[in-house]
Amino acid sequence: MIHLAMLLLAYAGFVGICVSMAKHQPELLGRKLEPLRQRQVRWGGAAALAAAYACAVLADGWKFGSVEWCGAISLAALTLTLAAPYRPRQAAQAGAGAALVGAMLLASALLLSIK
Amino acid sequence: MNGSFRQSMAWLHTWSGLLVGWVLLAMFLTGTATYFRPEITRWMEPETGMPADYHIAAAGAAAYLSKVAPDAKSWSITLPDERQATASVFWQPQPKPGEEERPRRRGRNRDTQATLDAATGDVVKPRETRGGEFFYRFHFQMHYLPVIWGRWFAGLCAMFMLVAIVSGVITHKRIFKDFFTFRPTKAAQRSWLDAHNMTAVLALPFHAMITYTGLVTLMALYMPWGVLANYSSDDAYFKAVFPRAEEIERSGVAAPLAPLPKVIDEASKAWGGGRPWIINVSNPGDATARIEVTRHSGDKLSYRGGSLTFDASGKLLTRSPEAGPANVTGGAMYGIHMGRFAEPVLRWVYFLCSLAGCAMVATGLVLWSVSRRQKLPDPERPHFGFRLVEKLNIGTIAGVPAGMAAMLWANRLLPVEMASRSPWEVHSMFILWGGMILYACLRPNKKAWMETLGLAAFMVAALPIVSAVTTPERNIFANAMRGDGAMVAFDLTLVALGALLAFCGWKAARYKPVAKPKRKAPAPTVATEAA
Amino acid sequence: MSVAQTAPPPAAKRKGPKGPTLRQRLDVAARAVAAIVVGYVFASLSTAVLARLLPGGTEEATIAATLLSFAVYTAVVIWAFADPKTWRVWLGLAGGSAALAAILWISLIVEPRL
Repeated sequence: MIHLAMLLLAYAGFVGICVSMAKHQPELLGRKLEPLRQRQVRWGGAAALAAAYACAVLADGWKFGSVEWCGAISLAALTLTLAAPYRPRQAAQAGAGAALVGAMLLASALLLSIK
Repeated sequence: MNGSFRQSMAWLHTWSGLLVGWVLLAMFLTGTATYFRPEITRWMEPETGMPADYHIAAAGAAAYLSKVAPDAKSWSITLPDERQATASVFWQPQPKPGEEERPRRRGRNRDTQATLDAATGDVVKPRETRGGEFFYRFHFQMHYLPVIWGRWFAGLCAMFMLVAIVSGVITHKRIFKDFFTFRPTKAAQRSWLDAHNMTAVLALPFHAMITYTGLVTLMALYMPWGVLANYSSDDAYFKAVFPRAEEIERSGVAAPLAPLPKVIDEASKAWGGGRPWIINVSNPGDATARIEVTRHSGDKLSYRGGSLTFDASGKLLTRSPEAGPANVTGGAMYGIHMGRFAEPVLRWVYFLCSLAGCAMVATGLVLWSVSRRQKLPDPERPHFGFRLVEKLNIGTIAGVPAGMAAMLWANRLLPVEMASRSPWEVHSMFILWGGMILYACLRPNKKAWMETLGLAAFMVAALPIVSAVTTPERNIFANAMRGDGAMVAFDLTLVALGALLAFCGWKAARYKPVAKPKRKAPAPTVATEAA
Repeated sequence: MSVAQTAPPPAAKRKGPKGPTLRQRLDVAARAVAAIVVGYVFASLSTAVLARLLPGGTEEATIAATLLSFAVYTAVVIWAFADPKTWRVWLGLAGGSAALAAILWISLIVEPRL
């Protein structure tokens, strides 16, 4: 489950970063973002990537987790880049969904580990 | 060179990638398969059973060895992990009086080794096959070449790759701007470039890591000069780095050997939780017996897990010394390359990143010919070198996956009792690969792409059926009923990979080269992802 | 990377569609030999020297130097093709190798191998 959270958050993170780039906004969103909004989305994406790293470390320790995170974000970026030209809107919307589900999974994993 | 820095790097990138591109693709593809080496071996040895706990396997191996070689000089047991169904044992008989004593190599002597079922400890005689081991060996030492030459050649190709990666990064002006850019509907050259950049840049950490650490795994061969500058011989160095216990003479006092499962638990406790991999027993049955337990190479990031030595009664005597930082770094580089620590999720991540590497090499090769064709004096009548590249591209991008599948076909179709069976399994891979190159030379390009990719797709996707017909106990339902998830996943993966190849063939079939050389129709951009 | 740059060797562009001249071919060959052969010698010598001079004990220094060797080799190859002057590549690599060999020789006299 925590692995799934890692993959989802990695995908969500790159959607955030991709959407914050002006050249991708028309196809992914259909509109341009305000500069402030753009910055927020970018930092949100970076935060999701960091959360994915937290998932990887939580699952497999910082050594294996780091290796895993490097691979997972590569695959997430590849998935997004492959999907975007064919289904741009859905790719972007999936990012929001992935962020939500991934965050919930991470939160529940954290709660369980505290207990 | 005489242009700008970036231009010379672009030139270097092009040619260092092209010259050895086909070999690199074969190395990448077989290396990718190697992440599932134990599973491939299990698939190719349908006579073997299911993985079992290593305690059981260790007890079974000890029982077998004390039956067939009670007074051997030493035993060596390679335990199965949760992915392997057999333990392999090998023993060194007492040297006969007057006989020159020389260390025997594992696998040299068929009558002093055996393969044991992990669960029962019984001898299993699987069909003669190299299994997943062949892909592993091929990806760093080639085939039909003396091993050392093959390794040097693989190392040379890896250096070309490393240079291509570095010069490619320097050449790429817009790594971050074009990070997510993929335009499959743009002109052919543009979308091939996008596809090459995408597979290269997005998995760049993997590509750089796998290439550099690949060189590191064989650095003692490629770069022995550091060792030779400090030590008068290789032996002196290995003694310093991997100290071995002195050999002890048999005392002649019989003493029962401690039960290996108990020793394993002791070892595991000493490691703070860890799996055993290889158990070496010297002087078994004697009071001077020593049991050396080497840790599973996938327990830590570093490939060198270290070992513990116990006496005959199972008391811990010594542990291998802690390694220094450089040694640990080297071990970790080795370990990250092998990825043996990877649990299923991470293993799939490795596999997919590695597939992206295959796609990077393949798209690079295709990009060369697509962008070159437009600059030819007469694009309709290219010169010999250009046509050779095109034909090798087709024959290799479709031919290597097909050839790898052919090896698995041969594994099921060649008679089990056939003489030199496993060499012919291997030959079938190269026969098909070579055949594909020849075939590509005889057909127009577009037809050749379609037909070779179609055949490759069929060869890969039909394997589960071939397996189900020839070895009914290994059909997908039987596997599922037995709870053998790995073999079920194996069959499904073959179907998925076949579908990917079929998709590439379909893209190639829809590819319409336009008469005007300057503008081309949308390219089969994803065409080589599968390769 | 823009493909317009990738295809021909930069120098060839000025010469039109005829392809590279003999001079350019020789230049490429000279650089390739410098990069692959002399570059390997240079990387080997630098590994040997580093293995002797790096701190942290003989064994550690040996491994660290060997791990670095491929990075040194790669850098040398990149430079061999990046430098505008081929003679400078040869001079640099040959001179550098000679210097490294001298350091290695002195260090071997001062402290023999194990």
